[in-house]
Amino acid sequence: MKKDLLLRLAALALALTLALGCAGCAAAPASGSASASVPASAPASEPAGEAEGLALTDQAGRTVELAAPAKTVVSGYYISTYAVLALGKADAIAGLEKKADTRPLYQMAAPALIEKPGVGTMKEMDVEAVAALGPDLVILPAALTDYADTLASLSIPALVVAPESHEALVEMIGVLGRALGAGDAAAALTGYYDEQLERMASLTTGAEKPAVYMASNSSYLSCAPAGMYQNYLIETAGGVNAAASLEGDYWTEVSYEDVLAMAPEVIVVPSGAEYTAADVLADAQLAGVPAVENGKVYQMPAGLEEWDSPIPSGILGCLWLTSVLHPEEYPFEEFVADAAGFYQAFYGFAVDESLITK
Amino acid sequence: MNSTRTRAALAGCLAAVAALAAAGLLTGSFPLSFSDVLQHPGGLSARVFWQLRLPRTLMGLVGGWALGMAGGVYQTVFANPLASPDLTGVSSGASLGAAAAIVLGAGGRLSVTLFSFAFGMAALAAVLGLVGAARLARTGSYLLAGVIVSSLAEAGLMVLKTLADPEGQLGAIESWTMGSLSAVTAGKTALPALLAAGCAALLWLVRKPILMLSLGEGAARGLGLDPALWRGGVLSLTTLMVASVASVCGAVAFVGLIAPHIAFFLGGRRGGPYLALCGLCGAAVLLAADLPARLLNLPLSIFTVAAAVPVLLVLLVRQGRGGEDDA
Repeated sequence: MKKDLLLRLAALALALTLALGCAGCAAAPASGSASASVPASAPASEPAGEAEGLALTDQAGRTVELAAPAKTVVSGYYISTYAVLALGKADAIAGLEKKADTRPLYQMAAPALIEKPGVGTMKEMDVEAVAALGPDLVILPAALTDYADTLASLSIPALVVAPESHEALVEMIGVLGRALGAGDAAAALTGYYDEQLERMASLTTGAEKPAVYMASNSSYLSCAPAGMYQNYLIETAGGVNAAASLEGDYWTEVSYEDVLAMAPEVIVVPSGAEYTAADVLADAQLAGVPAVENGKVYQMPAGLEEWDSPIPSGILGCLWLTSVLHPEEYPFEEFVADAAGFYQAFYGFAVDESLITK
Repeated sequence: MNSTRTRAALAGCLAAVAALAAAGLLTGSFPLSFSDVLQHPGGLSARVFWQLRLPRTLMGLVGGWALGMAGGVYQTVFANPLASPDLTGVSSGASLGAAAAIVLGAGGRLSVTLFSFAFGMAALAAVLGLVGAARLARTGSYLLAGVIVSSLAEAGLMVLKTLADPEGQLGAIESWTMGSLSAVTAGKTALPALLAAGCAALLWLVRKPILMLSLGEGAARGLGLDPALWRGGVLSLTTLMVASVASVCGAVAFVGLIAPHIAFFLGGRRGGPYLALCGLCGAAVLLAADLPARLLNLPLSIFTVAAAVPVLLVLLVRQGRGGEDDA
């Protein structure tokens, strides 16, 4: 009898699982159906008609509809906050990611941002705090895609951005430009990128391509393999990635022996590194590395932005490295003037040129 | 006397859970006006209440109940006070399953539930297999087997983290392994909460056979049970309950371990409404932990672990005085 009861209970449990599973399958396409209606060949953002507002496709493939360009935004990701600033829409930001006070750019370009509410990190978002700010639009990093649906349940539109490469950065700027009614500013910014990329290509054509080792923030025994944005940065600047033979798309740990075998001619320390170029030069284990022997270990400027990342000013990272690798063709002083011009044109402030170092 | 104590414990826990749930409904970053919720059903206040605040509180209640009850079932079936989803390898296995679902791109709620259930069950089977192979069904054997299986699952998790997309999947895995109710909405809660509640109801119906299993194979067989069949069915149901909660809340640490000890301390026995008391204690722990978590916007496990430390210290002291048997 007990066996019968057990069998009945097992059958009930199985039925419950299947019923809920089927319900889940039936419910699952709901969020994706909107995206599926967008033709695969459609550009990243396509006007739905002036009168009906905007229909945007974000970088998670979701369709986001806005009645009109957003006048207030909450940005949950520092790269999208940088982009909103570069598009001249600092006043639209009602809230942003936490730890805003650690970003020197905010202090220089829009100090009022430091006082705005911090609503989340790359891991979590305080949805109620976002709702309390009543924004027209929320911008989220890909890591928080789940929260886009949560916000949708409150009728708050959310755009997911994933600027993992230069192309994705350009796409993000285009989508944000449309979402914020700043299409002209977006076109000016991406036009600047095209112009500088052409310039770097012509400056470095025919020049020797030094082997560059791009170290990570945490350790110089961790480097950027071929699949990372940093590989693009090195190649754009007229170099070759000394770690190009490493597979993967994230920082890869290497040994001293690996670095000696790679024999980089230049070592680049990123701006947010927890060590300095002097530490690398002083490491006796690296004594045989050409970059160390020739004193060619350079650190990206530490007091500005993360130029080794796909951020709106990432083009300056490419220009900076071009001036480091090819000083004859592109002197560092010329780069400093270009960088100062960039910040004046797109962020509206005069940068302290003493911060631009190598 | 025992039944008076149990009734008092149940009433006290019910009151505590009700108070904590009420506190949960009143706590959050949005300046919620309840008159607004009633007067403007389509307004933002109403949407925040019905879509976020209430589902989060309900999920805390159901999730805590499920984890607490699961701990009670594990400890009773294994006759082992250290058995819990955390220490039997089930949590690590479920985390590995969820990470696999995320990295393989099948990171929807249903696939995360199914993967975490399958891997949780596999971990549990591995622990039971190791204990069986060692022919030593003692507390230390379960614990050691749990450490071995958990370590293997953790190694697998590390491999998946290195394969994960650092911009998206890695953050999702880390959030999952620390537990959180911050992304809970009405739509996300319904299925897992129903599934967990269904499993809990089934386990409640078979509470007597569960208690019989704690008497050992021979005694259970003498009472008319097929121990292997019942143990398999009960543990599968319990693991499914844990996995369904984990698909929404992630891996919430130690609720399943400490809730049964609090329940035993309050109720004084493992029979009668013990499993309900475990569920109530689990719900109270999770709802209490979610209050600072939602105010500080931090992962849930930080606070459940903080709650577990004093409980485990008391357990240690009581065991030192011979207060509670070890298996």
